Amino acid sequence: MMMHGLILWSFERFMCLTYGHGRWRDIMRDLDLSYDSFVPMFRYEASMATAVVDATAAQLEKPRDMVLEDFGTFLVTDDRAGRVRRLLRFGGTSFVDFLHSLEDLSGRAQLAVPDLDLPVIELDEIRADEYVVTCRDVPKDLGHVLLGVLRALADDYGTLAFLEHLGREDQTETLSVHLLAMQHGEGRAFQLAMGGGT
Amino acid sequence: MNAETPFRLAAHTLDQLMPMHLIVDETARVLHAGPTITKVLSSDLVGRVVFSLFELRRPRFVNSMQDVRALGDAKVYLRLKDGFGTPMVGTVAVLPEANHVLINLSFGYAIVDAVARYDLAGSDFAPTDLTVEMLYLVEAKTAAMEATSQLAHRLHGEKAEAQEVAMTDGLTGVCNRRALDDTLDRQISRGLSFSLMHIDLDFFKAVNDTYGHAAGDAVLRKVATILSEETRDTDSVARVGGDEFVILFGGLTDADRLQSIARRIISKLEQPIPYKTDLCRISASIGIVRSSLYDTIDADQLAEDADRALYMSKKRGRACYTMFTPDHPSDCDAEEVKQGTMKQGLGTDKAAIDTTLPEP
Repeated sequence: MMMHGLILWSFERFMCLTYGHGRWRDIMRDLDLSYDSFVPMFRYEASMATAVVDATAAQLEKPRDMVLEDFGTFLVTDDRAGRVRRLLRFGGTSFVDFLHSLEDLSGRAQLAVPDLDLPVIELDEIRADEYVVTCRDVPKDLGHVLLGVLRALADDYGTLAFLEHLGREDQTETLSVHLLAMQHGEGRAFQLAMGGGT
Repeated sequence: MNAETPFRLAAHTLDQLMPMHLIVDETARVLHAGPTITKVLSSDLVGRVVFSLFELRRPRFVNSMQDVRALGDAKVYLRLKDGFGTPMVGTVAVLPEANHVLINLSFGYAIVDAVARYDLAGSDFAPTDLTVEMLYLVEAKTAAMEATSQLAHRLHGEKAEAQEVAMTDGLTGVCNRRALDDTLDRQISRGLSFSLMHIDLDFFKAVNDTYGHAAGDAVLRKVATILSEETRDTDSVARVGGDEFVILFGGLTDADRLQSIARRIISKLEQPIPYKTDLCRISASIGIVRSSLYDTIDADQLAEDADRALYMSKKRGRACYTMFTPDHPSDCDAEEVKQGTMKQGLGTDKAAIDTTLPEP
C-alpha cells in the first residue's frame, strides 16, 4: 500500500509547528532514513507512515491514538493548515450535511490531486441524531485522525456532538457520532470564496 | 404572479435547460428524458423503470415512488446501473400535477471520468452549466502540478547528489570526516553498539617523498579500496586526514573478530602497491576502541581513546594494532603483525621497528 507524500508532509508540518523542528529531526533520526523531510509530490510506502507515527509516539511519550487525533485536530483548527478546514467546510452548510459529504471526500480530493488516495468513507444514519462512519482498507489507527477532524469540525459548525472510535476489524475502522445539539455554539464563519471571510 | 401558479414548459425547453433530466410518472416509469442522460445510458429511456437505471445511495431507503414523493424537493446521490457505477448527484422535484417527479442529474466530482467515459462534448451541457470551465480548470491545474512535480523530483535528486558530495572524500570516494561524525552521532544517540578502528598509514611520507604526490594519491585510493573490501556494506570507511582512516563497525564489538580484521587489513596494506614502474610499500598502525567498554558514550572521548591506542601501536613499532582498555591504557591488549616482507626495504624506519617490536 502506498501513501501520498502530502499526508506525510502534513504530519511533518503538524509536528514542526506544534513541537518544533528539533523534535521532528530527533524523530527522523530515530527512523534512520537518509532524509528528514517528506516531499509532498512523492509517494511513500504506507508502512513508512506507521513507522513515523510509532517513532513520534515514542518521542512524545504519548499513545499513538492521541498523536493521531491531535494531528486531525490540527488539520482543522490550526490557521497554518487553514486550507484543509476550508476544503472540508465545502462539504455542507451544517454538520449533518458535512457528515454526508464524507462519502464524496475521496472523489473530490482526486479532482484536485488525482493520485491522492484518501480513505473511502461510508456514512450510515442510524437515527437522525446517530451516525456510524466506516473507513475501509485504511492504515492502522487512521480512524483516530478522522476522529480528531470530526471533533474539531463539530466545534467549527457550532454543533455539540459525542464522538468515539469503535475500533478496528480487519482493515476497517468505525466511528460513532451522536449529535446532542445541532446549534450549540456560535461556530466559525465560513464563506465559499476565499477573501469573502474566513 | 402568484408563486404557486404552475408554469408550463415545452419538453424541448426542459431539454435545453436540463439536458440530464428525467420526468417519472407515479409507476416509476420514465415519461421523458433529456438528451444527455439518454446519450449517457445509450438507449431510449422512455418507459423504463427509474429504479432499474439507478441505485440510490443517499438517502438509502427509498424503494417506491411514494418514498420519492415523500422526500419532497430534495438532493439525492445515485449510482448509474451501467456497469461503471458512475456516481451522480440529483435534485428531485415533485411536480404539481399528476404525481410526476422531475429528477435533474449531474456528475458531481465524477465529471472528469464521466466526460471521457460517455464521450461528452460541450454541447451536451446546458449553456449555464460550469462543467466546461471545471474541465478547463482541472486540466490547467494538472499541467501546473506536473511541472511542479517534475521540479520537485529534480531538486530532490540534485539535493541528494549534493549531500552525497558533501559526505564523500573527493580523492578516494569513501566517506569524509563529516559523514563519519554523522554516523557516529547516530550510533551513539540510538544506543547501538559499535567499534572504531583508527588507521594511520606507516611510511606513507616516504612514498610521497620518493615517488611524488601522484604516487601518494594512488596509494591512498588503493588503501580506500582495500579497506572497503575488507569491511561489510554496513560498516563505514572514512578518510579523516592526509593518511588517516577510520572504520566504524556497526554492531560489532567482539575482540577476536576485530583483531582478526585488523591483522588482515595490515597484511593486505603491506602488499606492495604498484604505481607506474615503482612498487610502493606501506603498512599501518591501528587503534581500536569498542563502545561496549563505556557506560555512557561520548564521541570525543571515544576518538581520544582510539587515538591513544593508535599512539600505543606507533610506540610499539608500527605495523601493529592495539585494543584500547580503559582501566590500564598502558597495558593495552596489543599484538604486532608478523610480516616478514615488511621488514625489508623500509629505509630509515626499519631500525625503529626492529628495536621496539617485542618478540612474539
